[in-house]
Amino acid sequence: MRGLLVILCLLLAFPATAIDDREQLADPALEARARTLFKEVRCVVCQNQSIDDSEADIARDLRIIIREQIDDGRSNKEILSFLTARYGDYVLLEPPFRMSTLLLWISPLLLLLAGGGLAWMALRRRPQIAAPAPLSAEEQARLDALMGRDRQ
Amino acid sequence: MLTNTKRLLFILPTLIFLAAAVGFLMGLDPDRDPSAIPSPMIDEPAPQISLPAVEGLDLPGLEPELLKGSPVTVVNLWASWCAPCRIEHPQLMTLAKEPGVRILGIDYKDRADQAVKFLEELGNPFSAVGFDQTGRGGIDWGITGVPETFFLDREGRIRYRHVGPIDADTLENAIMPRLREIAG
Repeated sequence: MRGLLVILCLLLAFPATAIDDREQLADPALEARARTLFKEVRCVVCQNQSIDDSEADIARDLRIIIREQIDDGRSNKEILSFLTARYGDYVLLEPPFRMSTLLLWISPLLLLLAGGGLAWMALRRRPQIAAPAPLSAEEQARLDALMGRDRQ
Repeated sequence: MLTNTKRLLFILPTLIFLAAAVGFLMGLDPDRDPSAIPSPMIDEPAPQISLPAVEGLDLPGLEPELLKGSPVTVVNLWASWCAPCRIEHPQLMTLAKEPGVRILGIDYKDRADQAVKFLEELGNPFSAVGFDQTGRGGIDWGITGVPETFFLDREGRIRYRHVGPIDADTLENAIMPRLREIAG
């Protein structure tokens, strides 16, 4: 009986999401576009959450506005520029590539180049170990004597 | 004998440490607010939106024409349910007495009867109040919450923005100097 109850609970459980059904667009393709956009837009009161994840009032307001604008046939670019005009680039979870964000975008590459350069320099500078000089006739004779003795 | 390149390599860790230390020191600045969001609307014309009057309040609604003409126009977004707005209100009353300052209100996601009661109780600093029932007006002004206050020049350009309540100290030390600057 208890097992049945647990199974029933598990079957009825659904993943928590900030999206409530009554706001959703009728056209599944448009709704999918809206959801993709939501994931790119930062909730302005929660620092590092997209409006797709956020329960905040203002996130919900922004979702409604984005869905309306999609329904009105606006492009993703138009919708994002509507948002950045009000909230700045901050509202985009991924910062755009421009002069002020250049360092941010190319720093992984710079670090890789710097690290690679250092590694290359270190490897190049490593002293080569000289091959040992061949044994002299005297040494060879001694070695043979020792080896011969062992063999006996 | 050290080559110059080698010498530089020896100093490098110290230089990196110094640069990092300066960065961390700047991060410790008590005036720095990591949650502050830079507004893209500074020095831009204020949003040209109209909002209806608050029902039961004997004041006009918000119209774009009202945003310019006064040496300084203050646009304050507030709500009767907002506790910090209550703390801020006396400072708005003080501001309203300043010559050359016009204060416009945007009543954000509020109930009209509650808004009327709020102003009856604490005084009315506004010459017009727009009723923003859906919060769309707030989004057009790029706010993240109430209260937020914008300071506009004679041309209706946003010159300064204050997020959160204006307390007495902020009014004296941050807002008043700005007002004089904006009024020119």
